[in-house]
Amino acid sequence: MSQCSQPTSEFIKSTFGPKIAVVGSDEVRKLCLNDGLTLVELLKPFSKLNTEFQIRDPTNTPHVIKGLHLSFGDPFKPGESSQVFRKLINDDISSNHVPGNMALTVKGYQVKQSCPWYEVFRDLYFHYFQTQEHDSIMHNLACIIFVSAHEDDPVAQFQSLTEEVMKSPVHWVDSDMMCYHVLVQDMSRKPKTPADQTMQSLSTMYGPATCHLLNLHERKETESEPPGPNPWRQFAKDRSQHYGGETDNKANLTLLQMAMDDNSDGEADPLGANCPDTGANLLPNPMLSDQQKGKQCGENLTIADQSAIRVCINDFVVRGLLPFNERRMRALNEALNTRRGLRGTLFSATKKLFSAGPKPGVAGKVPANPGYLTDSPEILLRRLGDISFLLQHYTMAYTSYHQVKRDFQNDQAYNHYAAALEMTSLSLFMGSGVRREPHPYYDECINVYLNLCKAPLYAMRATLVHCECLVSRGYYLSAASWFIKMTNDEADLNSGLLLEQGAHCYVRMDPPSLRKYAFHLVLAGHRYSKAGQRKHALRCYKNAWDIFKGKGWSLAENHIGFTIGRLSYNTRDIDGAYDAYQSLLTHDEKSVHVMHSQILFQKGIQDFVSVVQIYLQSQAPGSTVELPIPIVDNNRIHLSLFGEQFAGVVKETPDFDKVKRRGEVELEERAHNLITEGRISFFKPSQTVFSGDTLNTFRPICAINETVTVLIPLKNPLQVPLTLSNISLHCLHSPRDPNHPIKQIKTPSRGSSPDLSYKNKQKTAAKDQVETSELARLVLGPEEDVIISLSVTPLVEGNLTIASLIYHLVSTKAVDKQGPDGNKESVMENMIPGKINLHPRGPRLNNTKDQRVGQVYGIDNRLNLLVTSPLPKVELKTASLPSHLFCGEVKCAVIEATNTGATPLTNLCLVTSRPCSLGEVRLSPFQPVVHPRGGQYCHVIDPTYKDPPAALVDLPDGQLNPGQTAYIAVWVYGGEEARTYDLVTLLYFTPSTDIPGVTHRAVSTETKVNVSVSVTVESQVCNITPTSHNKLHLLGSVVVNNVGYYSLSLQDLHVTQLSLVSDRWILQSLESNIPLVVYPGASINIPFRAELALKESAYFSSVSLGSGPLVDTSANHVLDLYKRSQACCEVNKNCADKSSPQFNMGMLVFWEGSVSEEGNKTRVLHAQHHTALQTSLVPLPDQLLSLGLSYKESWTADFKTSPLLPVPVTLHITNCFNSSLTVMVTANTTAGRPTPPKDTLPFMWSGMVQHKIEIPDHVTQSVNLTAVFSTPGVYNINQFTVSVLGESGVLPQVIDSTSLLRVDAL
Amino acid sequence: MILKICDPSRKCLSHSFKLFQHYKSNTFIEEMSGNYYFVIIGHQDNPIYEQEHSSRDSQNKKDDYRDLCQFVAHASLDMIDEHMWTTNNMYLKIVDKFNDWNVSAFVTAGKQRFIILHDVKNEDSIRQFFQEVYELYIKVAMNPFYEPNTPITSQVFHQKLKVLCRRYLI
Repeated sequence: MSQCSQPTSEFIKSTFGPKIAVVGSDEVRKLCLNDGLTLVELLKPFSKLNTEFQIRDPTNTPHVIKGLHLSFGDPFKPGESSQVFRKLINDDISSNHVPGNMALTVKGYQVKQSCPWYEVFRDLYFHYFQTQEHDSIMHNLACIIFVSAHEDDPVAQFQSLTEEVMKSPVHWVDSDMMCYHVLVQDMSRKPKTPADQTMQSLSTMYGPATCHLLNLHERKETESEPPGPNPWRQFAKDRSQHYGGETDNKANLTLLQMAMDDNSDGEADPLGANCPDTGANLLPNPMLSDQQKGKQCGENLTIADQSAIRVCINDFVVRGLLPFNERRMRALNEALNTRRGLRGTLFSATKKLFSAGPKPGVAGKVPANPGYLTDSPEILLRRLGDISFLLQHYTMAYTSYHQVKRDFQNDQAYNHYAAALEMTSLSLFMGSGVRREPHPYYDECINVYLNLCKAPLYAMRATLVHCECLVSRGYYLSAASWFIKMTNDEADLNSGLLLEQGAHCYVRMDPPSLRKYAFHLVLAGHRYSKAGQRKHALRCYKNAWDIFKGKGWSLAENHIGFTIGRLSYNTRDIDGAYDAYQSLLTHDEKSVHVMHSQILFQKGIQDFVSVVQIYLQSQAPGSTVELPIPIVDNNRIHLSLFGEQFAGVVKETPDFDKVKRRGEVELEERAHNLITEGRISFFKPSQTVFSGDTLNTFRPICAINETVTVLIPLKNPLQVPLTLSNISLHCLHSPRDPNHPIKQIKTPSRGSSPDLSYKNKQKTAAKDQVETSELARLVLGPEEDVIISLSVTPLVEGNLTIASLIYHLVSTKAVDKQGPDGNKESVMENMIPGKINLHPRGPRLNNTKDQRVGQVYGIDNRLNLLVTSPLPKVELKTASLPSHLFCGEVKCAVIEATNTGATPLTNLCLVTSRPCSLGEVRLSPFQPVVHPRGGQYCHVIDPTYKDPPAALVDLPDGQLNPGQTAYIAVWVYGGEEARTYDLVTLLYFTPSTDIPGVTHRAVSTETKVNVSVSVTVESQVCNITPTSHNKLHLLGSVVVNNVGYYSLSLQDLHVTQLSLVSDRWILQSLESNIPLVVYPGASINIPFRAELALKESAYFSSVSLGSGPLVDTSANHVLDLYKRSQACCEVNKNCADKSSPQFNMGMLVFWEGSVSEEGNKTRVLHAQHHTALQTSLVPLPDQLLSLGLSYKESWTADFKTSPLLPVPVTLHITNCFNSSLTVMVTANTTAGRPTPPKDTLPFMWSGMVQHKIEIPDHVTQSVNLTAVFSTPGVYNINQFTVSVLGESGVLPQVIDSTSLLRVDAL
Repeated sequence: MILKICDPSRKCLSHSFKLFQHYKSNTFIEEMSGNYYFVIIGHQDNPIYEQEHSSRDSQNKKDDYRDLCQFVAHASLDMIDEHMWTTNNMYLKIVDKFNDWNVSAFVTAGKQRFIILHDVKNEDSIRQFFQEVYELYIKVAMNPFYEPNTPITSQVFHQKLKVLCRRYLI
């Protein structure tokens, strides 16, 4: 419960103060109306008496009354209809929505503690509460009759009024009530009968104690007097509010429904509106006409008049009210004491009777109220309690109430019982000496009112008082639960108020239940908004929002945010609505799941668009707001140079392959090195694609009029479609600062933004500075991801920053329109300009400790373009590059490079990622031709020719002018391995003029080439035979194996040519034409012959097989392809190995085939394969000599007579070589062999075992040897070594055959 | 003393608190019985894991009470914070009620609060469920890449929890 302005005891004293009926004659009323007041209003400011009064209670003990609070009421005034009451409450509460300043800080949250509207509600509730018979404390205690002295007969007026009062159905506390008579005299007029006379006759008639003369308007208006404080001013304020104040039309709810339910009593419902709903009824007081409502209340009354009224009331209390009631108390007490004996027996009898009966609190059939007579002891006791309570004698009140409640309970008079319970509790609460806790009585009271009496109005009233008491004693939780218990489904405003008070109780608990507070505020806000109290609802939701916000309760936050947005919008708080929607639509990554209600957001976006529209009207014209939807994935923004003017949706951003990129940079560097020829030059790879995967420390460099394509991924986080229109990029431009070298801009600097130095000078790019494309319309489905492509073309040099994405957010609203041709649904569109700032972030850094511990991100310059003066630009067309090749296939393709830039380019250089060879270059389209050569030929390779790492395109003038196209023939080689690879073709070029910051540019394309198997080639040297004329012939064979048997498309494969690359051997044509067709799966063996050249040189000899023309091997590409082949690498490797002098050759096999392609076309394909050949300098060294043994194979010896058997063996040595050789023969069973033969028996050589002989070429000589055997057996006598003594050393000759000899014993 | 007072308050909450009117109609309750809403709440009262489970195939109207569940769970934190000092058990049984929702809670040694909103009483199963979820939660918390008090995004946790829901929350 909120903090109230008055203390609890004051509240109870004023609520349950003595009610005084005020009756006036017509003349008096007129008098009051002249001052713009009713009679009750005239007295009201003086109802609180601050003086102390003393009375004596029945036991004659003095009792002091402090702060007596009278409440005046007109007994004849008709009860307000429920509609009026409802409207009053609604208006008063809606006008009272500013919380007081009293605030409590709970766990860092500010909770406003005072709720003036609650007090307004409570006061109104009590003021218009119509009491029933049982609730005697609220009955009138006394009556004051006002009669004007200007009447014809004031005394008669008094009499008639007194009778009228007596007859009226007004409830009185005591039927024998006191009447007080006041004669009002208007001093500005002269009465017919002097007032003094009238007073005298009155005194004699009613007694002097109950009569009073009130003089008003004692001074003339003309007399000047400082205007005193006007106590009636608040009535004027209230009245103007009720008439002229803006009222909330949505007044549903409140007491009407409550009153409708309250029909259990069967009595006339005080608030049950039987009144017809007329306009007059809606006026609080029909007597007040329009002309009076503007009049200031009580302005004619002077301070003297005020004091006169005050004296009158004081007199009334001191002389009339208190002594009279003192006497009544005494009388009642005595009457009760005399009856006590009788009552005791009655009491015990009833107790016995009902002890077994239904107990209160147990819901049973509601019994009819037993009628009590006005002088029945229960009523007398109750009356004593009431008077004691009103006169603040709480001890006596408690005893009376406590006694009487038991009687009422026993009589099942539940209305009376509940009222007595209520008063018991209040007497206990107000009494100073607290013996018991007052709250259980009140709990019981409310329960009885609710469950047994079915009197929710009374229950509500009891709750309001009870909660006040509970809170004042610090029982916040009980108070909260009572507040919450009293809410119901029908009365939204009441429930809202009660829930809010309940929430305040939670927050005042110790420890504060802040989360319960928040929840109940939300519930209260919900009820307020249903009741049409938007400002109250908004306040509740906003307070709850403070607690919920930022914790990740996504759905709850959405609910609150959305409601705040709507309510703010409806209460014209555009800033508030804007903030609420903004935060609502902002995607929060922290939330566990984002599930939005579809309908909610459909409406939400419509509202949001309207809100922003109004918001923008308050801003400068042309301004845009940063919108939270859709979401841009900043890291995936993709920028590519050399784009085209385009705006649309693309499927995906191109993948970034780091390996591929490295390959491209390698190619580019190769070309760069070729162009700079090793000069020291800073190589910076030219980057054309900037995405989240690339290193974006360097700024993209773009020339004037070159289009940059930006791909922006958008995501719709909501579950409703979003419509965007006029999407384009917003750029900032700043002129280039000549004092600001580019390199410094490029140097990545940590921390602050690198562009700070020039950002200050940036301004929005005008239309003549940059040209942007625009996407007309885009519909993003629920939770859809879309990548949009937009382009930017800078037109002026300088720095260009792509700052934001600008677009219009469109909200569509289906509007049914009656068209001329029947029903037609048209769509109303509302759009607002919005933007999303683009700020891509660099990769997270991880180098230093600071970076590792904190979260430091590198800079990302991908949207900071550097615009240079015009540059050449090459458009590369590689359409003729093949997509399918066979192994070894060589195909010529023409690449077209067009300079689409504005300036000429030089140093055009082509680099490819696979073995390719540059052919002819022309500036017009052409078909590359293979020049045929006949027969067999040989040419010498230029020794200085090197396989170029990159091919510098030989341009006619050294430069390619804008608009010119260079056609470059490229020989693409299928390679030796069947696989698919990417052929990257990169063109490197430099601008013809020096432009700072731009050393070169490069453009590359990629072609996928699929290589399928065709043939494998092996070659071997069979023999080297000397011929006449001291020449050596090399005989060898090439085996061509067609493995492409599963590739049916390859047909008619035949070998056309062999070529040999060697520094000594020249290929010779073969004598016979052998069949050269290789069928699928088959292999052929092609013999070849080569001759040793006289002089060492780089020979490239070819021989044609079959009848076809020869491939021109002098063309660079044949050699290029060979040089890049694996075979060539092998040859070179072997050559480098100098330890054994050998011949290393490369063999090239050319073949042709035909491939049937789509459309019954046949393509003739040309292919070349490479294989390495190796042979030694001389013919095989162990074949220089031809060896033979002659001996008798079988011997018989008698080892008993002669132990040794000598056997003569002749060795024949033939020199096979062209010159004479020195031969060493060593007969040794062990020498020259790594291990002695184990399979034969040992024997010995005797005689001369070593011979050195000179053998001329092609001459056979013999050496005689003697072998000695000692045992019979089988011997291998091939146990000697023969070696040639050459210049380079000893060349051992091998005898392979086994020479067996058998010795038998006799 | 405070505890004495809290009891009637909870009772009256359950009986009289019918504010979101469409939640209280009888047909709705019949349709929607056997519903569970499980949430793990971190130290800053932030939900770090949410899961809904329904033992029947009553998927309709599901969206309607989702935000209410969050409100109720959040509001019950006050009761949980009060209750957890009165017992040595981690399982606190039913700590709060709102309309047809009962709120059962479990507070781990690290003062992470597990809350289940359920519309049928099922004490033993819920106790077991909490124990098993605690085991799962510990495994997640021990992951060095999991930052405490942040939403749990582990798919393994999610899958295993779903299995537990099917096993215990019937």
